[in-house]
Amino acid sequence: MASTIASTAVDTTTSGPQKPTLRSRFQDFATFLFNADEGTVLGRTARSWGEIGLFYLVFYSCLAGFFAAMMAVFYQTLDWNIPRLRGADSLLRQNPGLGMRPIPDVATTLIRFNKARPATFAQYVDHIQGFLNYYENELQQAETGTLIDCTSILEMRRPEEWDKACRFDIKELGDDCVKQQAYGFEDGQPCILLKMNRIYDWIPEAYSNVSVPSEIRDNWAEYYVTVNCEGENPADKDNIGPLKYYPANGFHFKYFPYRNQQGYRSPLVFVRLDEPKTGVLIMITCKIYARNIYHNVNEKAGMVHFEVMVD
Amino acid sequence: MASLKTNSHLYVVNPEDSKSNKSKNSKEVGMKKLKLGLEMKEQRMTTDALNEKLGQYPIMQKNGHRNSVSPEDGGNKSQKKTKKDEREELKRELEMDEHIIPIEELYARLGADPNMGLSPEVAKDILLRDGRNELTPPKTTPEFFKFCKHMLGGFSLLLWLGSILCFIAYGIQVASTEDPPGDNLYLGVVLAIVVIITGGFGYYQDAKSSRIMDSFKNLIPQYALVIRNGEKLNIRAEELVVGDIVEVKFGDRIPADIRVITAQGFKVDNSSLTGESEPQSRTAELTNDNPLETRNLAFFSTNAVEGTCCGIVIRTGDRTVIGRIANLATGLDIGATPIAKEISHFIHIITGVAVFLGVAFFIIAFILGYFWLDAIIFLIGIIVANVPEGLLVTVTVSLTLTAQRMARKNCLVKHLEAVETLGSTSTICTDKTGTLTQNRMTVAHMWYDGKIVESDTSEDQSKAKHNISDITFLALARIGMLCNRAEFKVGQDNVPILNRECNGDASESALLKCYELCIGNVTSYRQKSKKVVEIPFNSSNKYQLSIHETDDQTDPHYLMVMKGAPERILDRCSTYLKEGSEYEIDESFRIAFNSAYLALGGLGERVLGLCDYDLPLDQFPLGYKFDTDEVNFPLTGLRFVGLLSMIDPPRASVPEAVVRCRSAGIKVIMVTGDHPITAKAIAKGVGIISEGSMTVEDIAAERGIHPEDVDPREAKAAVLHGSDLRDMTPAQIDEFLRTHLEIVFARTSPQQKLLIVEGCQRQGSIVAVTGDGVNDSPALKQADIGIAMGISGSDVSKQVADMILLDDNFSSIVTGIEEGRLIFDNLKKSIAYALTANIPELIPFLALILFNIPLPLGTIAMLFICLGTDMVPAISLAYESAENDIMKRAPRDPIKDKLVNERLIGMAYGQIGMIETAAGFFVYFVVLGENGFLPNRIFGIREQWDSTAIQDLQDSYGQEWTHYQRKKLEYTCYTAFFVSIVITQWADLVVRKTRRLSLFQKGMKNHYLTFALFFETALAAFLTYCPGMEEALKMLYLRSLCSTFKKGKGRKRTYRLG
Repeated sequence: MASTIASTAVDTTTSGPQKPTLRSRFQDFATFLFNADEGTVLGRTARSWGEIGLFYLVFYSCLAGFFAAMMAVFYQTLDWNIPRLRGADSLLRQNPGLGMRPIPDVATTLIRFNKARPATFAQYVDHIQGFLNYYENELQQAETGTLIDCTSILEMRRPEEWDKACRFDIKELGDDCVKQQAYGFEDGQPCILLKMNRIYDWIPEAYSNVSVPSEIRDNWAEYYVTVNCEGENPADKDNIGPLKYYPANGFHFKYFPYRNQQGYRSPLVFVRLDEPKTGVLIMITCKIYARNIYHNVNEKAGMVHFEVMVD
Repeated sequence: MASLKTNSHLYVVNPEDSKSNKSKNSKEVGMKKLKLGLEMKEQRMTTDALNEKLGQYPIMQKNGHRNSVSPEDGGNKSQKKTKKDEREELKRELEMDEHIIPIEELYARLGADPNMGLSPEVAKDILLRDGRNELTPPKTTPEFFKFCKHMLGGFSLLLWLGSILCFIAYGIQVASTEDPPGDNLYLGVVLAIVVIITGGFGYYQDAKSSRIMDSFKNLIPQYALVIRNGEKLNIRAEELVVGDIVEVKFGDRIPADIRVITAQGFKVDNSSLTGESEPQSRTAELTNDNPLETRNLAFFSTNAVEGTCCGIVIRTGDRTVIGRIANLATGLDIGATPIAKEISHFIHIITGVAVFLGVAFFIIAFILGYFWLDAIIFLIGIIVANVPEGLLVTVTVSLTLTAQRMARKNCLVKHLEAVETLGSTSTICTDKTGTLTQNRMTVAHMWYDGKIVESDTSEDQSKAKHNISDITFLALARIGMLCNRAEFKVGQDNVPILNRECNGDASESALLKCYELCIGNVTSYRQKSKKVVEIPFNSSNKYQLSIHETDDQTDPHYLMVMKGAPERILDRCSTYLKEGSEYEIDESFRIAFNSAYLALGGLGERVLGLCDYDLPLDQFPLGYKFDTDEVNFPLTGLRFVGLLSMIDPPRASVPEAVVRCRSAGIKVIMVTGDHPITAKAIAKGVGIISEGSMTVEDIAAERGIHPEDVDPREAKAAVLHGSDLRDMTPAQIDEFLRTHLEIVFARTSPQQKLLIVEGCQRQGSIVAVTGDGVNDSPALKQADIGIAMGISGSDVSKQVADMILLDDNFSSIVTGIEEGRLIFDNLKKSIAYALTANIPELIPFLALILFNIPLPLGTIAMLFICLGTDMVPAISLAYESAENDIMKRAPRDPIKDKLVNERLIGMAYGQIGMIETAAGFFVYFVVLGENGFLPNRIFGIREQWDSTAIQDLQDSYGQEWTHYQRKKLEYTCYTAFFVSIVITQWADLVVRKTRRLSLFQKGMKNHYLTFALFFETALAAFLTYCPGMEEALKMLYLRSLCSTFKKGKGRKRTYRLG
């Protein structure tokens, strides 16, 4: 008798919040995903989804429209040929960096090859070649309007002419680093292409005889941005062997300033490692020298770093 | 917890073989029907253990219960039910027989000797067996666990998870790349630091409250006068054992549960046990089988108010009545607080969004051809970016600020989360004595000259006005002053009269204070009218009498004054005083008397009748020897003067507070141990039963029908007697709670208070319970928020409570509720504000994956938004004032009204967040575009952009950038994006200020918020322009507007921000 009372009491009464079982929670979630009774998916009916969808469509359209309008206004203020920030305003800080080729793989600056096996350096050759194709004379001829022949100019150009750029003749790169010799790779004397970074309106300033730094005194010439490469560590300095530069003095001042002239070609310099020690990794830093170029290893300001390993 | 609820009866075998069972008639007692309060719990205990718990003596069979069953009847069935939960055991009504059996039998059982007491050796043995006579303190959580709880609770867990994911991602990066970016490492470390600092802060806050708690503890050791080996010894109360003979005098705390052997005018204050505010007299006689009702038991921790007594200790320590109740509280497990539920709901949403986005972009990354390891890094990155780093701090600080504000308003919150719980409260079960009332008897009415004169009962009694020249009034005052044993304690001359402490019982103190107020100098008047003899009050004659010399030198004679139960007093009178003349008592006077008596009694007031008699000088000349034992002076034929009625009046601020509760949709239920009439009167006085509401009985009386014929649904109000509650099933209780809006529970026991709380919780209410006594502690614990009384509360109640009312005032609760509701609203605002910045922090990362653009916003800049610039504004929202009267709104529905709902997320993420993102991307494009990278150039550029090998990346103008220069540009983008978020967050902050009102209605009066705007801006400026930030934080300064103007060359420009 008593137990019946007790048991009915058990059935009829519940106490406070019950802890949901995993199963009931899952069921709740399933119901939330799709509730057949109320026709709701994720807690909303089709109509509700439609309404909120419409709201966000309109809202985002307006936002996108406003964004586009603002961008259009911004574009209106831009000049298509002259960057907004130049000179001291620009983050380029009037200090050019130095680029190098080949870099077939953006992840690394290591050039590693075996001169006996063309397959190992084909990619480097192709990359240099691909870059130099752009300098083919025929291409440069096409832009006669803005490119002029400067072979006769040996000093700085006059400011009036700065709106036109000098044609860079690929012949200036000499005869040793040519495609026919696979840019020296097949001889184990790789040619590395160096290129000064373009900075709008930047003009190099020349050293005087007095101020020229000691490390480039040997191959310094006036009106040239001198290039000097060397091994990074003492061991590298031993391993790197003699170097040759083409053209020998570096980048001539006549190619500056860069003003986004039509068809402008950056001046180039090949540096050739004549007798790199084989089988070791050689870390090389190339610096460019002018009075208004400062160097900083961390920033890679006025210099470039790469590694060569000849197997 | 399996909630096996029943109020039916359970049968428990009283084990004959139990070691401790010394019962001689155990065969008969064998089957014991025990009344079950409520639930049966899963935890089982053996019969032996059960008996241990109940005390070591057999349970006495009582016939008072319904449905008594013979042993044979339920024998087999009950065998299966012998294992019952320990807690269930405690929930049962008290069962004991020590007060019923003859005292000699008790001596024999306990091996005690009423004259010699126990011998020290025996006492020592018993002490070893039973343990010390003290309550086991509730298990305190070790500090370390408390600390861990703060470190690992709810929100912190999410941040830890994010932190761990960051470390995993960093680990993957370290393993897979040579020069991994440190971002994930920093993020992981920062997240961990945030959790640790916030956790430490929360722990510190709680520790601070518990230190305040500790200061409440009464550390004075209690001593007891005990007879051991025939000698009276003063020993520490903890060393008492069962069988000890103790002597207790007024002012002592009862050192254990004792049975009275002899008593002289002994009265105890049982209020901490039963809630009855009046002192109960205690004698050796058994008056009731119910141990709580009988006169011959005095319970541990109650106070002796008057008289002396000698008693035998029958129970000690945790086995005492109080101990059982205290243990009941510790056994209760409490659910999560509402805010904890809200936060876990919020975490669900956030995690849902995070995982959804993470997985979606994991798949997209695969489709876009990313390496799987990168895809995992993206997945982790997205999940972590969704973690609102600053929110934990914001929530903790907001709650702390509110807790401090509440503490200033006399609500001390023990756990931060309780702050909000109070705001969600939908039902308050409140005590009467001390909480609703002033906890002091006060003269409320006087009846003389045929009229009822009201006396002021407000806290300061500033309006006390009586016609002092009224002869009847003076006669009444004379009796009140002289026939009164109460005295002010010395050294209180500077204390306002009402706050002075008195010796003597509550009603005499009330009279003393009343006349001290309206006449004054009661003490000197008494000295002038020297008391000759007196007969103190006792329960059989129900009056108190004293004979004095008059202070009038011209007419020396003796004056007899008497006060007592009105009907008894009237019986002794033959004349009455009216407006200075004496009249014979006639029928019309009796009618007037009766109606006045009923009227005052109906107000729940305690009524006293007062009369006097000028003893004729010829019969009683000066120096007459009065004899109080063989009364040699007249006790009849006296002169009736008037009636005085007293009540513990409601606090002045309570009615308004109750009204505010009602308008706030909060049900106020009074639960008291007091009599229904008093309870109802106070309930009406404070508005718990509002004007015009009628109980079933009222309706029945009005219609002249039987209460059972009235449909309970017609009655808005109800007063339920504890004994009726005991007979109700949970379903009936639910029905009762649903039907009536205004409920008063009278004569309730602590177990029933628990029942009531559980009943309210079954209705889905969030229940606040106030209580001061030990008896309240189970209910306090069971409640969603237990509120203990700071002044009158017992230590146990304070320990189990979540909040402490420092001034014991009900209206402080209402202030607390208001603060709690406000913080809920403001937390919504804070969270909405803090969440918004999540989207402009997340989308740059998504854009990086989708469009391969340089990263617009770096991790560190992101952290500086979450934990820097956004922090102060988010916290400043905690200072927002209420938008409209939050106390006019119904309490929030814990199921529907969430802290964070889809709508809030939709607005924060989908709308404002997207606007901020658009702003951020605009400045990003502007910064890149001005420097030369137009938008069409940057799509798909990321691989080359991030490559350290490429030192000559061309921009849209053919300029070539080294890696370092590009990164500087990227950092400038971070800064610009950061600043744009800060600026859009200005607007967001102002938007969040209001949820319903317009800003123009609300105004910018929150100066903390205004400060936050400036602070945020200053911090952003500092981070942007302080030298050195570039290296440390990857934040590059933005060109200033001025420098642009200087070099503007007259051309129109768009300016970057900053």
